[in-house]
Amino acid sequence: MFPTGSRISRCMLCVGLTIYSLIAVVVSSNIVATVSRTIDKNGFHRNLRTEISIPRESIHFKPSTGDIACAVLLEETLPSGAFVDPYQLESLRAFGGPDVLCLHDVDTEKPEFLSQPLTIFIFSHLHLHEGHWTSNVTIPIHMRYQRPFQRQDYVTVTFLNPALFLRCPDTADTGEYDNIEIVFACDSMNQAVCTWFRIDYTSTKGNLDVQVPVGRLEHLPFVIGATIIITLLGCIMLIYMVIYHLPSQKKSKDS
Amino acid sequence: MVEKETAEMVKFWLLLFGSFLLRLLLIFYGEWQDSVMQVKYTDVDYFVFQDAANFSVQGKSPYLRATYRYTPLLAWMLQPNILWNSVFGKLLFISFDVLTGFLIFCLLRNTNTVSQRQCIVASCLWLFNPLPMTVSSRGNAESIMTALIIFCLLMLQKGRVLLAGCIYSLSIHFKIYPVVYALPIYFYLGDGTLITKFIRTSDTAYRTNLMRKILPNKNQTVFILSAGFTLAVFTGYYYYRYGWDFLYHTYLYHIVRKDIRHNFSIYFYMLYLTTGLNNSVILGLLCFLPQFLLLVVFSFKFYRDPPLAFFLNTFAFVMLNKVCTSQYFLWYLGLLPVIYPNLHISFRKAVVVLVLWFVGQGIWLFPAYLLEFDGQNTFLFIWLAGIVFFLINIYILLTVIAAVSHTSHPCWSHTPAHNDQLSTSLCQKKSLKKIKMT
Repeated sequence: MFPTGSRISRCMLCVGLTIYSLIAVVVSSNIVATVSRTIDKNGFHRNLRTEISIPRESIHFKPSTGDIACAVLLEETLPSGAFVDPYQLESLRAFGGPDVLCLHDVDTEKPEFLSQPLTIFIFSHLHLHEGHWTSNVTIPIHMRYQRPFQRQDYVTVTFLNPALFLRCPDTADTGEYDNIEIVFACDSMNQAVCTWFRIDYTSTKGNLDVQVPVGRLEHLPFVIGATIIITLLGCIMLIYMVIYHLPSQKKSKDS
Repeated sequence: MVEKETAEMVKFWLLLFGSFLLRLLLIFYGEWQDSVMQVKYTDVDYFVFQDAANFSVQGKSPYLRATYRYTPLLAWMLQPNILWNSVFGKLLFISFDVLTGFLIFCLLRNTNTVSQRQCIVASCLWLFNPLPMTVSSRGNAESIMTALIIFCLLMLQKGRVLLAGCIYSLSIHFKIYPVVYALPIYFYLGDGTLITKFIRTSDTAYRTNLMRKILPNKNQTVFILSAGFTLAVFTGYYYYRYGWDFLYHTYLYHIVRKDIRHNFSIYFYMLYLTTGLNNSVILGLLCFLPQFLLLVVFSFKFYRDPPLAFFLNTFAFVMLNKVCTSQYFLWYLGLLPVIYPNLHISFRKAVVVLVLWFVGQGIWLFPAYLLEFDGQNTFLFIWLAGIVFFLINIYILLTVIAAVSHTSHPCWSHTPAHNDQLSTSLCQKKSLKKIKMT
């Protein structure tokens, strides 16, 4: 299945990523996209929603082909306080869920302070909507437990903005866009590689913040004391009852 | 009389069949829900098993699937999931579930204190209990454990010590928690005189006597050897095939598991707050001590009634474990029907205990929901709810112990596994006493 796919293809992509950093040439961009991001829901299970919008006229097509839907790639680096569950994404895909590639195994159980930031790749197609090429992707994310804090109920986890790449079948070979170019997987199936162009975007908001509840260290002495005392007393009571207050035991002593 | 018994047996077979059909219906319902809704009926772990089975089919290690923390035997057993149909595992699990109900019946029928009718009622407590029904039809493998444990009890009861040893170690191979039954089994296979004398005297002559009693007799040796051999074969073979991955995920992970995320355990908040602090070793010992003490005391006291000792040990283990999720409750619920007919407890009190048990979980679930799905900082309330649930559990244990104390019949089976004269005569004496009293 998807994230556990052959290790060889993973390595191939690792190479692809290094090429990306080597051949990267910074040239000013023609296309300016708009990206707006929100995080829905509360608690430890949330939805990260990304809306991409590109003006229709900024992508030029050959007259012979007309408009062709382009694909976008979001290179998203999740903070160590959050993660995606590749297996959940895999099962959501059957219901039209997002197309996400995750090149590393994800430990869904570790707390934030034992985890690393996680880079994932989200693939999506652009659709023509009111004069704009748009795409709307929602991925389910989960928050990790944080280290307890003193006099603080919440800790802030910040989601950075992603890098945005574009791939249009018609424009790719025209050389019309001389942006940063990378060779990377065409989709999350990770079977073939495509050429992607990095495009700039303006973000409607800055980075996103999520408040995660944390344990309070000033509870510590009280919690340790009460927990240990209650468990020990409960046990002593049970043992006392079992050894000295069982009628059957007294009877069997008599017999 | 015989005719009546046959009629009851026919009824029991029909009930078994009916409970199987009900579970089948649940599986069909689940398949439907999975195909139309995003919220799945199928257990998350079932997909883990299935992915592991897929690797198994390809001749690869099932541990390539992250979070697969079970024996490779399970992945191997579920290969038809890939080769035939993904429903196979669920069919297997509900079969084990119904088998558990059947074994409960068998176990109780061999006990001379329970009528056939009571056996059927107790069996139905499992067969028509919505909890195991949904759990197994959702594709959770716990039913294999309950079947193995009750089968092990049955073999002990029938005096088939060798087989009991094999089954017991197989159950440990599947999940480690049955190690808490080692002590009661060992004492049970002894001559049954350990505790009465232990309490009476403490002189040196007795101490040498006690040493003699603690050293293994023939049955105990057979049990230790068969259990040890079976466990060694499974562990050795899978270690040879899958190496460290197998040892870590099947055994070690469950022992060293340190999950600080909120759960039913009374220790949860304490362990979360102390993560990264240096005094964790002392605290770890303080958490381990109550669990250990209760297991030893229950084993010493109730080993002559193994189902009861098993139940109490499991309950104490789960109640005082550092991590406790609702799946753990099934471990003792499977043993409840086996001890229930021997509990002298009024219907009203049984209902009170049951309601309290659910209320305890409900009180916990509310702040846990607010934390997990609403992002409110309710850690302190979850901890307080954990304490309330712990106190309720203590009360349940006290009630159960008080309810068994009225039975003046410590002898479990009419065919004791040990052919020891003393123990048999002890049984007879008790029975006679009972007859006189009535």
